[in-house]
Amino acid sequence: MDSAILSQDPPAAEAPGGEGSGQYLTFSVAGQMYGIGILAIKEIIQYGNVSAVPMMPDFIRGVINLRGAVVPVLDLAARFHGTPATLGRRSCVVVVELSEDEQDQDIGVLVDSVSAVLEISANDIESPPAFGTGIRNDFIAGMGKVDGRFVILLDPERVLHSQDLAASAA
Amino acid sequence: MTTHDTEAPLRLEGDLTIYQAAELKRRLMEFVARAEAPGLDLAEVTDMDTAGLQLLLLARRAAAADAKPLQLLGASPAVMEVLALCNLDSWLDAASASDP
Amino acid sequence: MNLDSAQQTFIEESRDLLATMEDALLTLESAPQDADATNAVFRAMHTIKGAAGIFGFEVIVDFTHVAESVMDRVRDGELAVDDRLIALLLLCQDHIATLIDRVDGGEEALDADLVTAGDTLTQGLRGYLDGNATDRSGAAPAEGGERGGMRTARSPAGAAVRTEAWHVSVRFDQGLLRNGFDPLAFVRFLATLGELRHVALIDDALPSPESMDPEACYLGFEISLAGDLDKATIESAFEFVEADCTLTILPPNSQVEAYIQLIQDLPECERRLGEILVACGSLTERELEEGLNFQAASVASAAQTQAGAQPLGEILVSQGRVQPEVVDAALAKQRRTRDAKTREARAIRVDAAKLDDLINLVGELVIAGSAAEMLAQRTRQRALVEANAGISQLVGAIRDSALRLRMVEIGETFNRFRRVVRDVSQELGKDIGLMITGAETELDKSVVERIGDPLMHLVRNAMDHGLESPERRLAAGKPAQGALRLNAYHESGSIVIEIADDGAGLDRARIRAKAEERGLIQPGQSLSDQEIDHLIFEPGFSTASEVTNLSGRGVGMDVVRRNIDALRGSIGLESRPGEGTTVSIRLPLTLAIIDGFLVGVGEGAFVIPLDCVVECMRCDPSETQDQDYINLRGQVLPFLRLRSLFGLSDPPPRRQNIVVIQFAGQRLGLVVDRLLGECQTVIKPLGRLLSHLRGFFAGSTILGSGDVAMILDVQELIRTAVARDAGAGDRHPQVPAAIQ
Repeated sequence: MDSAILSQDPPAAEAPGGEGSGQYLTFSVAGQMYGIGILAIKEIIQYGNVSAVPMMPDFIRGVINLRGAVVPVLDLAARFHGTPATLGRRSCVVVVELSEDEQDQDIGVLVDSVSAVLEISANDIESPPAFGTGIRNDFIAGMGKVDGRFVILLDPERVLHSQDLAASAA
Repeated sequence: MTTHDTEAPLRLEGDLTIYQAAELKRRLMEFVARAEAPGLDLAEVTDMDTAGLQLLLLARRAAAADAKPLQLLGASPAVMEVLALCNLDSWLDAASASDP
Repeated sequence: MNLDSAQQTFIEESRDLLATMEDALLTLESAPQDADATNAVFRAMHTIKGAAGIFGFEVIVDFTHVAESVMDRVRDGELAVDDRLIALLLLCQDHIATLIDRVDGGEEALDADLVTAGDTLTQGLRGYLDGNATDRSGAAPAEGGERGGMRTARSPAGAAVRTEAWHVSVRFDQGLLRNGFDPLAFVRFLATLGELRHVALIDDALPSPESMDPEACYLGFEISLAGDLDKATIESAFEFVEADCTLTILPPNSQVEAYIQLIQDLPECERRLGEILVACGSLTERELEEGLNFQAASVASAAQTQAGAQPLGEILVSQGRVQPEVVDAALAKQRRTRDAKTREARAIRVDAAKLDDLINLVGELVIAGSAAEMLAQRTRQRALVEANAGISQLVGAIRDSALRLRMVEIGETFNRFRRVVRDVSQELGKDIGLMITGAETELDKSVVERIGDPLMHLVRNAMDHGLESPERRLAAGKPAQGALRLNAYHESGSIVIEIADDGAGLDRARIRAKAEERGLIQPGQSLSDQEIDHLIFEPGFSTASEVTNLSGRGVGMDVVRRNIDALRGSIGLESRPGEGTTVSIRLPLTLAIIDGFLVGVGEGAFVIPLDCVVECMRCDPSETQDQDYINLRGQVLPFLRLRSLFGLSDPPPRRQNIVVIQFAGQRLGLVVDRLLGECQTVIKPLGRLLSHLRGFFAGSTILGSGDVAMILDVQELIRTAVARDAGAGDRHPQVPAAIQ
């Protein structure tokens, strides 16, 4: 078994999803629109039946039983802003498939609402600003321009990087 | 001469070949059945071929089946040659070993 | 049978044989006379050679043939086993393993290095073969076929017999005499052609006196004829009676199997024939024995397909003749070979993936069964509840059975280290003795596969850094030979593996210094001996002043620990300066399904591994409020309040329970709200995210209700309690995890 190697910091201007245009699922957390490349997205389910796990940091809501698999649910609002999300009618869990250290892991992400799947071309993606987005710079894969507004395109591997989460929890 | 003087050995003379085989068989079998300690004297045998040899072997087996040893007492050169050729000289040696 | 799977079997079985061969060679090192070990090495070479021949792997065939010939000499007592030979054979074994790997990788061509290596080894082997005029490996039967006909013949019994005489076997037909021929004349004629070394008259066909026809021929001969002859000459002697006899002529140095074939073809009983052939000098006892053995094995396997294959070894005692020992020995060996074959046949090779599928299904069955049981209990219909209980019991039995399929003895893994210890101790110039105990301790196959690397690292570490050189040991009053011990045993639902050495122990001063240098600890920070020892598990730590080839490949103890962690195990250290070090690894016996005890704390349900549960009892919150222990039948039992541990701020219910758990000899009470009974638990690993936030959970499981329950990590809980009682009450519960 190889020693675990921390993933390198991706170059800031790296466009997610490769060359050309990509499709992104857009969703809203605490009033801000975000997007994640759909290749990483496994499914979207309603929020419910979450079993709480004690001693977890606030941004871990608990775990759900997804057809026999135990999937942790991460509260993005808490992760980004420290305040747990308020559950609403449209709250749902986006299940993201990650491949970390040769192991596949599904993580559910709690969002306020899900919007549409948008096609954003590489030309319409700009590198993230040094500050001003309200979240950590390395979480952002790029800024997508849609209808004159900006959608923060997230790098799921960074946002959901487990060691990172552990560090911030300790 | 045999030490068993209760009965006489069977003396065979002349040729022991296929031409005498049928008669020889009858004589040998009868002798082996009758005698308590059958002995064969082959000193006067002039010629022996496979048929003759076979009958000797048959007689030995029949005697052994009755738990009687068939002893060879005396063998002519013709007989000795055949026995030596077939590696059966021990038969002769066994016989001579029991002679006083 | 398709070629691929047959070839795969060949590869797997060859690897097994090579492992056996290695074991045997190591045994011979200390016991050079061990006949079983000698035979094992021979058989390995012999079998691999034969199988390789079937697949046309000529390189392997040629190489193993030389090794086999050498081993044959050893078996005969002509060659003595010495260290040099064993070392050479071990290298040969490595070489063959490499060749097999090549086959596995689908590479047909050999690179120059490999060819050179093989040639060098072969030369070394031939050195042992030279000096014998009748070089078996080189003799070719005068038939014109190649040595053993390796390239075309399908049989591995390629060794040639030693006799240099022709063997003539003839059975005359009954009508021969009537046709005017006399067998004796033929024998006399043969005597003119060469030297009649031996003539054996075969009169087995003579019937009883009643049925014997005095004019028929019932005789045959087995003759050993020496001389400068060729087959045609001998055949011509029987020219006139070609049609009236069955004639077989075997040239000098024919293969043993040719004789065995003759024995089989002739009508008389095999044992007697074998005896006769030996008496003729045409076969030696050894050749006969080997030939019979090989035939027994190959015929036994061919018997299923070939209806006409003659069964070997059915010996009739003929006319009260005393059976010579050699044939007795051959017969006994035949029986042993056959027994071994049937024993082997009772084991089946199973694709590991199929086994995993089965266990997954059993896991789902467990969950589904729990759901059904829960629903049944709600209906309160006794018949239904009982029926479901019955099903649950059966499911439990299937579960146990399925899991046991995956259990293998750790001895296999331990044995691999014999070679490693031998090689490395030679490299290091240290004298190291390896002792293995608990080899029959079983553990899950997947764990076995993943424990190999960490163990290897720990063993090499012990040899490299732990054990001192012979001089230093003598100076310290220890025996020159260092002792390395591998031990394994079961305890509380886990398997414990120990690697112990009687070396110098950990150099705590050096570890401290290094840790300070790396910034892992503050200078002057007070640490217990245990804490210092465990610093070596921190990432990036290595006290070896030079990274040796063996243990310092950039792979440190932290990786070892991480591997163990991934197996949901733990690793512990115990070191006594000047006396030695013992590393113990504790692993769960199964990664998949366990019996659990369900408890409720607050809103959630939690599972405690049933193996660890000793007893439960009611308790009043007022009892547990002020102190951290209770008096249990005169003994002090410390406890943890799970509600507070889990950070639940609500007041506890009126009645609570204490579950007494035990692990590694330590007892602890857990204060919980509700007792929810036993359940079968399919362990779902925590996954990366949750395991980094590990807390006190070893995994999760899905209950019959569909809810997720966390499985408590008993070891972690106990550690926390110990740490708390050690007076560090205000420590973050995570710290004990770092200083295991």
